[in-house]
Amino acid sequence: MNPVVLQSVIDRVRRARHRDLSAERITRSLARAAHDAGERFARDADTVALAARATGFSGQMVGEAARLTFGAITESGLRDMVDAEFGDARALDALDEHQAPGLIAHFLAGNVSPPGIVSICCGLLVKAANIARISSRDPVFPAVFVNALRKVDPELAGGVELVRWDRADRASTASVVREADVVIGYGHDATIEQLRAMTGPSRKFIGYGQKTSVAVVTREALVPERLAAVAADLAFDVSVYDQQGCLSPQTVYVETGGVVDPRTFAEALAAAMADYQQRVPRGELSNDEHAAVSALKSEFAFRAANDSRVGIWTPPSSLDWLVSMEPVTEFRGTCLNRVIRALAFDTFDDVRASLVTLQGKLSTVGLSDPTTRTSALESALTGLGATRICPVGQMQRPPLTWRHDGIPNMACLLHPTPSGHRLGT
Amino acid sequence: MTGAVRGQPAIIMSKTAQHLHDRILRLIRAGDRHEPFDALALDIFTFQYTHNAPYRAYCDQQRITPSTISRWTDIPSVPTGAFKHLEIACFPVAETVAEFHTSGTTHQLAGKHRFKSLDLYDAALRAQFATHLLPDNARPHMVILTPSPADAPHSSLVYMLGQLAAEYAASATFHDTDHRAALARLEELGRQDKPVAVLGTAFSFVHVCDFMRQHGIRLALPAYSRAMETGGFKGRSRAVSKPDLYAMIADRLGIPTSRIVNEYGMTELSTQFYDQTLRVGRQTDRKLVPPWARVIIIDPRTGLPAALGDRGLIRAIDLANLWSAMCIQTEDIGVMHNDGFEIVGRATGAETRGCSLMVGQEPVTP
Repeated sequence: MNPVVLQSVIDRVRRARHRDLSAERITRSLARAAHDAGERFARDADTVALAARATGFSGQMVGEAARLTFGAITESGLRDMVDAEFGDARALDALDEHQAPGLIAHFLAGNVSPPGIVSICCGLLVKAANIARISSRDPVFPAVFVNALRKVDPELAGGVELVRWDRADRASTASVVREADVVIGYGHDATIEQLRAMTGPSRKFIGYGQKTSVAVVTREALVPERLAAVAADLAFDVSVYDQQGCLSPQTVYVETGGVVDPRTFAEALAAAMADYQQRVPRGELSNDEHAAVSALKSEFAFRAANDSRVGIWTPPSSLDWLVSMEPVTEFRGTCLNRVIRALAFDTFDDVRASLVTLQGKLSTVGLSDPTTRTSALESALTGLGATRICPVGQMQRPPLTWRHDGIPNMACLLHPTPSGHRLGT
Repeated sequence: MTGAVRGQPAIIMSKTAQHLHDRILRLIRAGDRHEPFDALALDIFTFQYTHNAPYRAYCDQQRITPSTISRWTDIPSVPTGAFKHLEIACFPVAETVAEFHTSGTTHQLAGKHRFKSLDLYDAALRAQFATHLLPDNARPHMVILTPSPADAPHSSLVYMLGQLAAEYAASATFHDTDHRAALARLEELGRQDKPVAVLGTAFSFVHVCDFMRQHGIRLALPAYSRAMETGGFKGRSRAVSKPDLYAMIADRLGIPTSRIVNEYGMTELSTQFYDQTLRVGRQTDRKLVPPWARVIIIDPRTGLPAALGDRGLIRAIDLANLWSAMCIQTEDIGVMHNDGFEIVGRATGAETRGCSLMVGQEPVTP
């Protein structure tokens, strides 16, 4: 990006930043903008087509993504988040000049939109000026949101500018980092490390790197009357965003000894994946991405012919999704794109042992039935770093109060007060 | 059974196996046209279907059996991953004379490839190496950047290098990660103006060149020196492109890129494939297939052969793989051209488009 143009954008957003807008007003405007942005996706085929081309998702998945992203940003959702972190919106209004960052630089990445949009909302709620570098895989969602905000509340919208440049343009990244008080990085771990290094020790850096999620289906769910519903819920969690997000489960642990055995569950899951594919098709894959799915299918097809504990399900003449089944092993991820491994386990200790290598890399655990039986497992998973344990079917619907990667969404953006007593916890 | 043991008493084979063994050996040694590939491949299929139980179970499920098959292109393939979970062998485990293991972490399973005899393996590795690395019939001094066979008894690559050293080298030394010793040997050979062959994994070359760069060392190895690199960057935390790697080798060791050859092999196969570079006198990524093998590029969308020029999964039909399975489906991506095939990458290498972690598909080492 032209350095003169970039500097003028930075200056403009600093000038336009309004510290006197109330948190209540900001909340209402953000919720209104989210609603309008959702409407735009629901009504405008061109917007959907543009987003589909950039993200690689089907048009139907773009619609699903818009509902999930903007559906979460409601007045009550935002208020809950503010209350959870500050006790009350007035605490935000009482923020000292020195506590709120002057300029926050958000470096968005990837084709999964919610984190970036929420990031911008949080930056506006703490009344900072915000520059968001949008990703080439998702330029449309942030643009639609900010445009909607401009119509709803132009004063507030002045506090955010969207910019875009190639990742190779390190000079522009460095310029923005130099000006920022807080740098927030999203994306591949390598990118985050580069950004962290560029930010240096004198500025605050918050990185949201790559994580994975898993689901656990227990005996309580493995009964005929619940089978289809649990399978459908899991198929949704797996298939949304074509499994590209950190909340997308790559593996589902299925308990043995229930009325329904793991193989029957896997079959039900396969049927649910097929059903979801009908309604919300997966995006197009490159040859190499196809090759990864094909390689997994080959391995499991051979093994399944020789081991009744192993199974593989795919559509009859495509690789639009894949369900594999085998006895529990050490965790292995999949190539994504709606490829889910089912691991049959006997005891919860098997699940814990399987996930040991994911220490610090585990995001969300979808648990079909939290009971007294699962409490030790839940503790163990929290110990491994899981930041959320929720019902299957809700994995992709974290409330705004969820601390992304365990980091408080907004409180982390603030500086400590001069006396050292930090507002909010 | 440990290691790849030579000097065993004569191996007893059934008449069928012996006959197949001899036909394959003639094809490897005599080259073109001596033995029609198609008929031999189908006969080997019958043998492997009969004696390899896991393979038979899979073929039955695919409904492809010796009584229904008519073309070698229909022979069902064994995915490399299967070697981690099942015994892919046409003979009882107790008759194993050698076994090679894929690299696995302590947690992940290693694949095992067992042999009742290494005769075919030995013939294939010699024929291919001589053709591609010694087209000038040179007898170089080999400097090998891997452990010795005694130290890595289950590595197919190290076994191969040990065999080649014994057969074709004027002298040979194994250096593993002792860069100083490797460089000292290279310097000594350079002083004596003796042509050198440096052989190792791609990553061992990277380590050596990094070491040389850190210590400001450059060597200009004698004319007629050559290098062979293999293995790519599967499971490594850092990837160096082939052009960058070759530029490093040319810069630090003084071996021009027209004399660096990539070898493509794997634990699950008996035959290796090489760039045609030394044979044609210029750097090329194209690999030709010897008369006792075939390579098909499979379109992952359809499972059928891909069109020329299209990327797909490499499937190798290697008649020297008599004792296990001759048709192997790899997880490597390649392209077939009019003048040979080229390796492009790994199927498990595609990155996420979102924020999901992709982990555990392959062991990672630095």
